[in-house]
Amino acid sequence: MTRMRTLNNQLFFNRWKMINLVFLINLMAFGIVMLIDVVSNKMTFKLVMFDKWYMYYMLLTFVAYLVTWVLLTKDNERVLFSNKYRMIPITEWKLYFSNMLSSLLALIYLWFLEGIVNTIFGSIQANHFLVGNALTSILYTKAYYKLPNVDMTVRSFIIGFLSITLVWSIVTLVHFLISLISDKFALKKKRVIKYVLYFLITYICLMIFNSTVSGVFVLMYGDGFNVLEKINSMLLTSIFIFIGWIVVLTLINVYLLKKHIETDY
Amino acid sequence: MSNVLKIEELNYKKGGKKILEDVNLKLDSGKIIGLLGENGAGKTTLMRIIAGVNSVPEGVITVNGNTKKVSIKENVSLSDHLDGFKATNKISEIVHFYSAVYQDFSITKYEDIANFLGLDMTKKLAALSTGTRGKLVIALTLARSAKLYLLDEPLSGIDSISRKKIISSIIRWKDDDSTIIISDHYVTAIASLLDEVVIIKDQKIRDLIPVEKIQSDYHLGIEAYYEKVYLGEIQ
Repeated sequence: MTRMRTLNNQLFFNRWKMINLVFLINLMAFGIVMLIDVVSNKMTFKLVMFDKWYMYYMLLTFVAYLVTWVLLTKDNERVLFSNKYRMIPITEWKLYFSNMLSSLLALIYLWFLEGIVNTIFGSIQANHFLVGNALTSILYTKAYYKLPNVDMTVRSFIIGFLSITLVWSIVTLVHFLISLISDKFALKKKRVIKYVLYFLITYICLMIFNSTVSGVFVLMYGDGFNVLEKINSMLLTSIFIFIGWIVVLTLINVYLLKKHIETDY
Repeated sequence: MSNVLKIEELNYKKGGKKILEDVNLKLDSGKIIGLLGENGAGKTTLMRIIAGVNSVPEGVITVNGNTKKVSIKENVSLSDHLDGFKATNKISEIVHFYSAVYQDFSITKYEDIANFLGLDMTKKLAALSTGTRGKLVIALTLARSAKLYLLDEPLSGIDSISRKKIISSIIRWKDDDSTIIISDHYVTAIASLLDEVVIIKDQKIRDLIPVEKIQSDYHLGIEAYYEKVYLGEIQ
């Protein structure tokens, strides 16, 4: 257990540094955008500018999340294919979970950092009643304060994290299958075949996932789900479907990691 | 003397090609063994299989009586070429990583070896020459208290002075009951270290022979014996 904790700390520390860098770049980019805006307004400062800046910030935050997700996905794969981590006397289960867990924690950490900035913006806007902007109005007034119930918010967040875990699990499976196929068979034009395999396996995974999920939803909500309770129960169903898929993919991934997947470097 | 390593009926294929076939090997503890073979003979693959970073599709690997992968990894210290670390990582960070994840890693032993080899903790990986990187790999590998050390081409691309230093450190920091397997193209460079020689030829273990026997029975040096085995002059 101690070794797993140490590994968790190591993996999280690397990703923590990565998130700090992404957040810093995000803030710097935002600072530059604000500066340009102030300069182009002849150095005059109006409170109403906060609305526009908030939208710029939201856009930059979206980019930051996207970049973080890609970086974490790459780092997830790097760990599973690297001697550095595979040589550690720890079971494949523990390595797989530590890897996934530290990536999720890193994402939560970014979410926390962005949340602080959001709260600052929110308090400035609330203090000055600057809710004229349509998007800001939707984001603050509707999304935060008028959500139908707490359950739905919590479930939406859970679904958000589960879907990220699910996509990481699928990416890992795709990577593993490609590695397995290219290890087992003598492939000529390896790079071309790899890209074809990437496309093919991703397509098959998405098809299976899509047909299963939509099948369940058609069965359960064939008569529509415009009633609030039904949306709520749909979210709960989604959570169970996602968990089911994550469990299945995790079992396959860990089996492949244990029996077939070798390190690249 | 007990068996530190036992390999039974190991077969390994990659990319549809046989790399190792019907490998059976038993090694006693406390020795330094040279793993010799031409390029692509399967030396690195064999080491990686023993260390548990390559899969074992067919066969059984036993290290110090353990067949479970985790226990094997606890008993084996493989020289990693550190490609998993970032170029910006300082030596101190790599040492910190090793001491955090390997319970048998001794900082004191590392510092002794590093002082002997002249390694500077503050240097970044990117700033190291091939020779210094090789020294770092050896220091990290030997600083663990393992039963079996696997040194994969530790002298490859390294200048003669650094080579001598590395060889001296292997002799100096080897525990009496631990076993070291060294693979290298520089047969002459490592010859002075070896107690036994394992030769891989045509995907199979061709020979496991004590160095004394090579000298007494064939009146040859290790390199000459190895060449004759490869040319088929010794059956």
